[in-house]
Amino acid sequence: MNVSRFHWIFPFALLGGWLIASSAFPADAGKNVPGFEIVYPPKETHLIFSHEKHKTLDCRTCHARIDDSEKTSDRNLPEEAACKTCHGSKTRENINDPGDIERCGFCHRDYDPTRASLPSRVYHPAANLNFGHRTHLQRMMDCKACHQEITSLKTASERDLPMEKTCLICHSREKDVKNRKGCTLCHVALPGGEIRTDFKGVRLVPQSGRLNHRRNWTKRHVEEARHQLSTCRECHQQHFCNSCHDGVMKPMKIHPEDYVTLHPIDARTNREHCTACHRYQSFCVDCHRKVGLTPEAIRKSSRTKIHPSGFGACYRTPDHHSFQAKRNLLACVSCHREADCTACHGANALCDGQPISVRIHGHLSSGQLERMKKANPRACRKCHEKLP
Amino acid sequence: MRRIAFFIFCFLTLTTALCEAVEVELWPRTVFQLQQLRDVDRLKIDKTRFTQYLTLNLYEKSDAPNHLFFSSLRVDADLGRDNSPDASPDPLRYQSFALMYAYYEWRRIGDLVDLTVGRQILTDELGMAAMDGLKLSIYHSWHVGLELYSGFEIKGALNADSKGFELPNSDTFEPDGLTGDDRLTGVFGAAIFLHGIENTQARLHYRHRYSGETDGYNLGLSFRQRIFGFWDLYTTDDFNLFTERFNQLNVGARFDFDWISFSLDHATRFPNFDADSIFNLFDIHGEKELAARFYVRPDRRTHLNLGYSRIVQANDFPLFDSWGREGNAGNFADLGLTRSIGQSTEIRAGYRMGMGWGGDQHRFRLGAGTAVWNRRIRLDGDWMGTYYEKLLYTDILEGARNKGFSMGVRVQSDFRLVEEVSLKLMGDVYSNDLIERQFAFFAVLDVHAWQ
Repeated sequence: MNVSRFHWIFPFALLGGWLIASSAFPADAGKNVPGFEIVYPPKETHLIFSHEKHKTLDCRTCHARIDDSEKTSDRNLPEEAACKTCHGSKTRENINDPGDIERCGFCHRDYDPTRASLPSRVYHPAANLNFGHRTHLQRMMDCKACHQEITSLKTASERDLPMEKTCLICHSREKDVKNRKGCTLCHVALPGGEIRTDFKGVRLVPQSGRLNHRRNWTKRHVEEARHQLSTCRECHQQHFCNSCHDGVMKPMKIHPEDYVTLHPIDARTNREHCTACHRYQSFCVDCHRKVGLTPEAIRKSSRTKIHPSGFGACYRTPDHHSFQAKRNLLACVSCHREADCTACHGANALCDGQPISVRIHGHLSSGQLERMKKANPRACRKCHEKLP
Repeated sequence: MRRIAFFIFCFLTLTTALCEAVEVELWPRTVFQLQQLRDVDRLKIDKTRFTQYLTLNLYEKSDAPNHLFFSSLRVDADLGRDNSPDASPDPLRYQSFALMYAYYEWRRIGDLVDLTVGRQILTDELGMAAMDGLKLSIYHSWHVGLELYSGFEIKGALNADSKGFELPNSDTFEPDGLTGDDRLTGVFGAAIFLHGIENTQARLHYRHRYSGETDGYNLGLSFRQRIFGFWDLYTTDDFNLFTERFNQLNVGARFDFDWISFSLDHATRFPNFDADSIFNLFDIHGEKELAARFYVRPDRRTHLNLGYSRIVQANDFPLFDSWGREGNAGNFADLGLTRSIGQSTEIRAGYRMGMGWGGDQHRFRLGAGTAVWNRRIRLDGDWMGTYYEKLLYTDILEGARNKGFSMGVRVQSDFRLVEEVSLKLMGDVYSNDLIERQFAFFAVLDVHAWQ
């Protein structure tokens, strides 16, 4: 065994080892879901508040309007008056009261006596979700069903808001058969019913699980589209597919490098599944003609030679085209048309003046050929002209 | 005069009523691209291409619209002039006008049926195919659904279906203007599928195409089962009943956790041609691919992809490539790393390699992107380098020129000065041992209006 052939494995092995080691103890895996900031835009607050210290109170003591809240933009946070009911001695008498560090600093972490009239405002943007507390509370749901850990939190942040998996305990896209509303039951919808994914230039994309768009999605999206296009349709319309698949503009995710020069390597192995966007003959031949890579031009040229000697010989050589045609016919078809094949392989064609006795149909049985002829005699007649 | 006034009144009334009931999405997209490839002796390729899309969608004004209309037009022209002796003297020969799709969708008819009528694109286990016709999707609370469709196939030259998806009216790109089978071809199909079951998806599909003498029929199967909440087993298959072989036979397993996943896939593929093509009658071997992919997200800002695949393109006999090396198989690996910094900045690095049959390549990529000015402008840049060997078939150029290094940069800027309008400018330039200079420039203007 030639060890040097496998030298390229070592960097991958090292990297794999590092990954496994680092992944075994992810600092915040699971808790911090990417895209979270889009659904729950970051809030800004300098208030000191501990839910843990208030856990004996009923939630509605502070969140008084929660039973009537129908959307996420409702302001459900308590105002100063709510705090005043218990912490009267720590609050201002009125808006003109300048306050002092002992009272105001009790809640306002960044209280500055020199700027007492300008306490930091709480910025709490609405979640980009369709959600109504009222709907859920009317079903006699307990607050803790969604805000499970709230009473143990000393400082609550947007990171402690319920995540998708909490919603999915009751809601399921698949179970939502009746109204077939799917993901837009919770996610903000566009007029066509798709999920809104563009939030001022920031894209909301799935980043975990089966639909993880960060996981080699350019290659993998075909699997989802083939299995269940309706999942794609939750966010994308047809024009999104066409923007790549009509082959007009070079997508950098697929052809990032010097692809004009390097495409022969991928084309020979059918590596990038060229035909998903390009038509074999029109797209390939168009450029090949321009750069002089046509069968006619090659025959005339003494300098350019595409195929090795013996490639088109009338007898089989190790470099004979039949091997390559069996291996990857698509590569042949990128330049050659049917007429190039029938010129030699037609029923009455000659090569060097001799009839060709090649079993071009190979492993196809006579029964199979008969069935194909019955289904489509037109293709057979291209070579066997006398067929009825 | 009265008649004109009456017509104007009716028109305005109808328009107003329509506007009240309908949400209109108008999305013109203008793409300009300039690509040039210059060799030592001459400008070989000059693509100066102008493409205009117009997407017009209408939606019923509702939380869950039932009546929708989607359409997209494309006007495409290549105005490039190169000095190729084979180039057409007519610079406008590449003009094309295409109605890419235009269909009306009526959802939830009696809470049971979805109806789609018009030019539409089918995407399923049999690939992508365009059709002028009607499709019915019947859902039922028994978790079993039925899909029926019928119409006329919109197709290109050799390939009528999955592997050669082609949008309509692009025949002008065919060099000699011929198409393999230009007969009107009827298509009809039926699929039975499971729906509303959380962990199981299954679909069995039959499609038949008929154009008098030419028959083509395929059987498709897709199945996916989730086990224990993290383990997916799946298969998607496309069996060609005409050639009696699989166009695609894919099986795979995947393990998905929140931050780590692993998948193993095996695929067998045979090239798929129009039933009219003689290539169906050739003795060809399938291509087999075994692929393993690993993904990890060590923290919420870092994504790492690692993949390996092996493609074997022959069955039972050793093949030799053009350089005399035994070459039945190619080995491929890739590594990609992206890390977000804040919400607006991303750095990325990538490496891909391919060795074996077809040629060797090692591709490197380093890039970064950031958004500035309240995310109104996004700037991206990448450096890319590739070491290649055995790139060309030609034996004249074999040796020093058949191995080399290609290097280039790409820069991109996206401007979104107002919510409805965005402009993308992108350019790349490369140089290598074979081609003195090549560059490409793209400009894409999107105007996305709602009414």
